[in-house]
Amino acid sequence: MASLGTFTERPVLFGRYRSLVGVVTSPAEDGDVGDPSCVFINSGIIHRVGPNRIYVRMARALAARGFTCLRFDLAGIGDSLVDPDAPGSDPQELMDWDTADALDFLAQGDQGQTFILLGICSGANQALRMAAADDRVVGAVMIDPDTYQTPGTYVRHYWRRVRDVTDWPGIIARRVGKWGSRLPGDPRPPRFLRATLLPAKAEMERTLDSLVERGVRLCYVFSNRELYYNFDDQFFREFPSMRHRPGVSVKYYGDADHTFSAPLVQERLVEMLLRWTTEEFDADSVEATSDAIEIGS
Amino acid sequence: MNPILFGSRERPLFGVVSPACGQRRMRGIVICGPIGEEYQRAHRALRVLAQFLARDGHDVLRFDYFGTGDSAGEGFEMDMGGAVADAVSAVEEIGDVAAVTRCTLVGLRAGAAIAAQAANRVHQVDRVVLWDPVTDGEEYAASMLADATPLPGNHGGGLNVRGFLFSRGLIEEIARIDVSTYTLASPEVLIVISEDRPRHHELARHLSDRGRNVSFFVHEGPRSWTEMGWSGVGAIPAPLLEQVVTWHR
Repeated sequence: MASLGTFTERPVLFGRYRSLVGVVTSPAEDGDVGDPSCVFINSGIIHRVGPNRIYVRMARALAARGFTCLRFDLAGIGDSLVDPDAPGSDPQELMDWDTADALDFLAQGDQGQTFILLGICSGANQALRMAAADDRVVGAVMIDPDTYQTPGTYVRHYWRRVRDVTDWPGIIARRVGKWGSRLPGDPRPPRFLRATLLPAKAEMERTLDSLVERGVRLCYVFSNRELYYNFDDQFFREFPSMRHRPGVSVKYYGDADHTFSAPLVQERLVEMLLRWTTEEFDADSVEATSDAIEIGS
Repeated sequence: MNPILFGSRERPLFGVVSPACGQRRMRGIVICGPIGEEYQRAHRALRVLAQFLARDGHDVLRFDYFGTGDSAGEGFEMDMGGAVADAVSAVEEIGDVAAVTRCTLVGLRAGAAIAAQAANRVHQVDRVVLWDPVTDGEEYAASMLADATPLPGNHGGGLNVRGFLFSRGLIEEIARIDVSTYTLASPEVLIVISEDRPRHHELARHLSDRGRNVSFFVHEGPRSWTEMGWSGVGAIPAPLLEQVVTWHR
């Protein structure tokens, strides 16, 4: 175990096949440990440190505030192996098992009976899915999950593109013919990555409703993702019934990219995360927050 | 796979040991990764390389430099001297964990420069693998600076390079990397290349002229350290990894 001032860290190997690798970050003083604990879920196939190492920064800041955190790799990602004896081959099923194993591991080690799940992109989708499936989950922080566009999303997206003359060659090239190749600077991702696994909107609304009824705290965070999410109120325009519901929080960072790569934006994100967790889950005082998360402190 | 913490109390380092499977060859192998976004992308390929080598009877340790990955510290606290000391510490760790006295250092990109310098500081290292080594530090540092934005003084006064924090000192150290950085004491050297450049051939000549037994292998193709699609990670260049395994037999 490494003691790093306000928190300690230890690597762990767990899961029903002891094939999952993770790092537990705990508050330095045992007396501060309490529920809920936080579990970070891989963003895509990036290993457990998260894009630009942001999960490390988040976990250490949360531990300094009294929350035990587990960052781990789902089977097949990072250092975790897929056990050849694992039944089934459905990737979603394997992800569900692994996430449940992570919660069991912390619960069996007296490191939490209730949990907050956190994730970026696909990790956010998985956080919501497991929140709905497992009653031990009391909170979910979902950063840039798959989302539904509103008419306003399209209007803003295309209006920006029309206004930005540097985009015109790309737009014209695509409109003139399918042969129009991508031009440098065109940020459009390949088609296979644009495919979405979102359920029907009505089904999603039912899921969110049941989570709110159960008292699960939901923290949605969105960056500026142009065609996907591009204005402050988009979530509540998608789901008007969620507006003013208790425990539903939505933050939009118009100056952030998908992986929150700018350190100063990361710092604001971590600060918001600490404020949200302390307000929603009554941990240590929020006052000392900035000392704990300042990069380089 | 066994995740471990090692190093000193002031400088705890995270590593993953892949113990040898089957017939042990009694050789430890320490893998030094690249830095910044290249490490995030290459993590997958480095893990697969460790698995390949472990299956072939080697005890392998991958680790994160101080200030990177799961190790303690912030990105801008990393410097070359510290990273070399971390690599030395990793060699000692695999020696203790696996009870081996012979060791190979494998380094990818900037990690190759770190591995080369560490190899000269520990007598157990008799083989070095340089995988797409950075041989033109000035060009490499310039590419980092092209996308860098400065950070305020309370953020270490460093630079944000595509989402990763670097000290200006580290970038200056990187800029000084050239062929002479790889003046190795180890007699056996393998250079594996996925991006063939004249400087790599110059490096091979530099080492051969100094009496090193140099093997050179080129397999141009997808790279482990550049992004594959929009996935955030790189490719797994299997032929190149297999070459590293074969060279050790």
